[in-house]
Amino acid sequence: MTFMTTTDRVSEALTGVAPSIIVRPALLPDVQPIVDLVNGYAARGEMLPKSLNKVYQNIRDFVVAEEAGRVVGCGALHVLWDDLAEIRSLAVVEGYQGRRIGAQIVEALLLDAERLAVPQVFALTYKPRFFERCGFTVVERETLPRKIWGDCIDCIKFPHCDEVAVVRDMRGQRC
Amino acid sequence: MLGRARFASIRRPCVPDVQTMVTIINARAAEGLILPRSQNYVYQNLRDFCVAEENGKLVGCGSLHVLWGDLGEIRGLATTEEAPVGLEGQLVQALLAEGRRLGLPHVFAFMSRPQVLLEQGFVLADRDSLPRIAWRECIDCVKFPNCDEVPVWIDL
Repeated sequence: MTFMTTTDRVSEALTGVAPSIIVRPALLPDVQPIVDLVNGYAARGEMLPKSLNKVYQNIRDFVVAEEAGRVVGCGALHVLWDDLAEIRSLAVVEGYQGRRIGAQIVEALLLDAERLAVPQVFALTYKPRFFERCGFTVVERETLPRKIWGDCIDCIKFPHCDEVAVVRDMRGQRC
Repeated sequence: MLGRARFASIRRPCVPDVQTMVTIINARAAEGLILPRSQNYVYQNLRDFCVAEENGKLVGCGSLHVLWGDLGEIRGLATTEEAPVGLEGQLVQALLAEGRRLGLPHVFAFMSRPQVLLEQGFVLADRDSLPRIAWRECIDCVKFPNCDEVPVWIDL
């Protein structure tokens, strides 16, 4: 199953993304590659680390980008409450960046948010410009619902968060 | 309704279903048949669930929670009084199909009434033979350590 749309395929052709890359829901054999990918960036302070346990227990949150059987990107959409879901663990393997793989992953996650009827999607990120290109708006962290801090208090960075909050309203929008 | 076949359709839930799902689960929990679940639990694990709908109304739900690469657990299996006969079995089969899709080799459950799962191919398991990870959430259970549920197991 691929979430790619015709428009994606056209823009791929224009921007030179390999058509061999597909974005699909993650399966259990993808978990170790996902953890390796995320924790590679986490070791450099660019993302939050994820345990195998966290990824197994939330496996249906994840999509992966795959090329020739290799996981070259991943991302997750975690539902927090009836009005809110969060994009987490978005990563693309080095050497594959700049090919719209991350944008395709976000698009797949937003389609998922739409299917789940979640009205608002947010992310905490070091790459706000990327999310702005995906239709998100930068907001003050403090404007996010208190619900999100339930997970933040377990974060190794809490309370000194240096990530930027971005939000996308899903109401009345098609991806 | 005797002699008239009734079928519920099974689908993946979306967030507007959650409050009804919680009501269905906790009605069964009030009878002591399953464990209660909070709204927060159901939202955060929404993708584990499937729901059964009949005439536009939710009449049951169930979830398959992945614990590790080789182990999943059926949780929150509940139907309403009005649900068609056999709906629990139908929900279990949908959850097992989901387990196969994910590549999960084993599924277990703790059940007050194991009969429904035994009819779907599960076998009674020795409590002490379950992988340790199966016990992780047990220590938070209101029944721990006096569990009166029966462990059942299936190989996919």
